[in-house]
Amino acid sequence: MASAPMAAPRKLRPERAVASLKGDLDASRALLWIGARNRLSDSIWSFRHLALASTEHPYQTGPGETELTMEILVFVKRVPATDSKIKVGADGKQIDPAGVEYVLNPYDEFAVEEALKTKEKFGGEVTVLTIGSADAQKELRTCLAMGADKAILLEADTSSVDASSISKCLAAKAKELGAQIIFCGKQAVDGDDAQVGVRVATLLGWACVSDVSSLELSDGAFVATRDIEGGKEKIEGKLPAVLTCQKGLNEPRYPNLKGIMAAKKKPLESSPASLESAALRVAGLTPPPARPAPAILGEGAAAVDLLIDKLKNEAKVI
Amino acid sequence: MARYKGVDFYAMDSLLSDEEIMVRDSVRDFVSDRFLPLVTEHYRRGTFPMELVPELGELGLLGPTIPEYGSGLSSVGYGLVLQELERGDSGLRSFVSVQGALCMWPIATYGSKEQKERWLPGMARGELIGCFGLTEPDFGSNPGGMTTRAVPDGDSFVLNGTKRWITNGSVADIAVVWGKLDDEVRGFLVEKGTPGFTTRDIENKFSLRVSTTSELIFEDCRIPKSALLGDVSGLKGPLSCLTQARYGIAWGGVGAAQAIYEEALEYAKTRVQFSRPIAGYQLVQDKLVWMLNEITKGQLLVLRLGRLKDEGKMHFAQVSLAKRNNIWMALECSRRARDILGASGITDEYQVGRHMTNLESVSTYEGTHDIHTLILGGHVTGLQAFE
Repeated sequence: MASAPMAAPRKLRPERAVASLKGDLDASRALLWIGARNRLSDSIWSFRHLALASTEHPYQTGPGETELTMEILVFVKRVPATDSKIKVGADGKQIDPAGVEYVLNPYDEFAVEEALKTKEKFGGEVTVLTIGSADAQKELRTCLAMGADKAILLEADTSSVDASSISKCLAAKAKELGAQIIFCGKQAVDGDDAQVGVRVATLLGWACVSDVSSLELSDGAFVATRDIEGGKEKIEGKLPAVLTCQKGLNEPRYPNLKGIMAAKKKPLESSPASLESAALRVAGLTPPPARPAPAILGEGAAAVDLLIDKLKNEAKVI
Repeated sequence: MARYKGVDFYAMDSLLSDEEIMVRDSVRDFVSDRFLPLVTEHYRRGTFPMELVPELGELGLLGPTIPEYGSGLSSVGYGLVLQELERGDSGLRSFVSVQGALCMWPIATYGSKEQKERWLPGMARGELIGCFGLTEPDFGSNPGGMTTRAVPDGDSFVLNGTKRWITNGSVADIAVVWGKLDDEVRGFLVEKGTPGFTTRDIENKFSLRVSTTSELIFEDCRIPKSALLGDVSGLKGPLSCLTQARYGIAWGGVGAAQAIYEEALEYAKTRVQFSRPIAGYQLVQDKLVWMLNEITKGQLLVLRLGRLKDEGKMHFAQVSLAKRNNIWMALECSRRARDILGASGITDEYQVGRHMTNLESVSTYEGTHDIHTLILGGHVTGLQAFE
């Protein structure tokens, strides 16, 4: 696998980046927990420190240098719009695409926005990458209009793939591109697997934080906050890393007119994806049961007993 | 709530470029997410959400078709922007029309290099706001009768007169003011704060409440000679600006009508009377179909007009036809929709009442419905009904 970045970012010294990436990708890093739990008012904060065996990281700067640049990669996916009426297709294993509107996965919008903010702060280049049909060019153009520098479509029929084969393909491409940080949505709202980001990080031997709702990046390190039950968890770590993005992380920008007009001139590369055959297949899809028509049980105090009885014995919620 | 999708009965999207669709959708989302949550409160108070102005600039909606300062957007793309803004409120669309078509456009077209550099970049970013002073208390449809006068005096002009019904008048940093110099209509750029230039807001409006409407008063207002828009004289100056703005208004009418239609359709499908939704009754269906029919025709009209504009073939009489038809159509839609909504249609819980009263203004400004009839009448007969 070629490890040279396809296009060296303007401010990055490519030789150094390649050398250090190789070090990082040895998968020889240890995951170290320094557990410390403090109860702060009603929140539980835990601090996890991810120590990397490789002390060098790709955008370590030399003496006197303050500019950092990054090869920033974003995984995105074309998914049915969340307000689409979904019908199960004739084969019972896929949805019927007729009349379904497709959009950029909403969680990926947070990922693109965070990538753009990272670029604005540190310089570098934002590449958006997807695996899918040629139709996904529309969503890639949206990302370019938001401000991404280039887009890559790995064309494939995704009806018979699984998270494993997708992740292997994406990880290989990330390596080839010389990516130093990867953002993706915490999950795609079609399959809701929430596996790809974590799997890619594992394959690359990188740090990974999922469901990130707040992020601070500095000189090769990050502090990510994730929402957990009843509180927040704050995680420190070093790059390279995969960060899966949750609502609240940022306010995705609207593509502005200049960005939209510039998008058509930006590179959108398309090539066939090389995907392993899937180990898993969808055996069947079942739509949720139709909601029963609402019934009015009565009015005022007289209806209370009946309502309690129904909640207890029919809905079984109390 | 489901994402607003607009009306596209004749698969118009397939006639639009990918960029045009993306621009429309971006503005559509902005209006849904950022503007509509604020509109009712501003309507009640009679204020414009000034906090959104930098965002309008950031989105590139201010003067996007101005050469060098814009984004090279097509006229259809620009029309779609205004359609989506007026889907929100005519006041929002008016803000953008005045800034782009009535202020930035004449500065870009008739202004000096210094005037362009001074004003256009800040106006495109929304840091500087413009207004357009043509109408006077006694001269509306007859702008040629204006009494505002500029008299040369050394290195200056001394301006006297009053302009009325001026959108953004009191919030503007720069006023494009039309007045007579040696009995010829000329344009002047008057900065906010110039001694002798004051403004007064017109309060208690029924219509365009989400928009500032003012009077501009010039009393021995001394402006430098460099404030003259040098490259145009005569009524052609202001009228050419109005052609730009009317073009956008014709698109805006489609946006308001779509908002109204969608609301009436949704209401009719869920409002049950005599055991079934009122959408199932023939008289309600007649109103809904009337709206769909007229919206579809209005869409095709402005799309064709936009393509003609980009080809450099648009005639001002064609703009008159589109403005006249589409605002009449939108106003008629609003009356039918209000009827479908019954009593609910008179509260601000629903948007139809706001659009309906707004459209009364839009029908009047930028050439009344009747004046456009006479422009077209003069065009087809060769006989002018007015001077």
